[in-house]
Amino acid sequence: MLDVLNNQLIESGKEPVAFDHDCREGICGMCSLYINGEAHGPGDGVTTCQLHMRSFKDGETIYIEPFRAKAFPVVKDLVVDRSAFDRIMAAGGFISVNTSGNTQDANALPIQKEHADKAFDAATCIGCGACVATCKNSSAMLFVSAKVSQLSLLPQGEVEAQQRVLNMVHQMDKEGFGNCTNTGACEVECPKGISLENIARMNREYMKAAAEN
Amino acid sequence: MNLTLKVWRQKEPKEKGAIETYQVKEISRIVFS
Repeated sequence: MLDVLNNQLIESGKEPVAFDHDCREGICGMCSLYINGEAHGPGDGVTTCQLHMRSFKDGETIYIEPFRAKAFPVVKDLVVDRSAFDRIMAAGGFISVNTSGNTQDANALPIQKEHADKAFDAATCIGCGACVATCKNSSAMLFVSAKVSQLSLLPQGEVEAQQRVLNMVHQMDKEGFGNCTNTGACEVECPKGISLENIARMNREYMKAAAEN
Repeated sequence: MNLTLKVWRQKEPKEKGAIETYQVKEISRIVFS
């Protein structure tokens, strides 16, 4: 639909609307937009690029705004800078693997089914930032906790778990994201249904790591 | 389906933005972006 608008604007010699998009199938996390006051617009479990126009009525007025947050400054029109998420990931969202030729076969490591399922659920976070845009405090706790949980629930991520949570939370605070006040709005608007349970897990891990380090 | 779009336009990061109004016509069977 925004392409239709931009074609119209280009044909009439006007500047097209800048907006982020990439995969257009709800997996890359590039699309954003606050549509009629909701991150990714109406509908549950969909990103903006998956939002069908049948969700709207003929003659309707639609308000389209960028994600609003201090840590997501507007670059142009509907495009915001979400590189704060990249810096949080660089601070600890990884595992260190020895690739000298003796790498452990991941499939040879027994993992509790419950842990594997929870790690997988956390890993479905696409890092779109809807949680931040929706939160009244612009908190990034849901995103960061999903990344922390995804890694710490698996044996490969356990080794660096304490340093990871300390570093990622420190970077999150440094980027200017707000504090979590447990309103749960992030979980409601998350297009991937990331659970608040991850925030509880991250808080436990953070307290433990802070006490032991 | 005809729609009125109120879109946030902002040229530069430091510049003041504003909502602008556009009309789009014959929108159907497509996704938002």
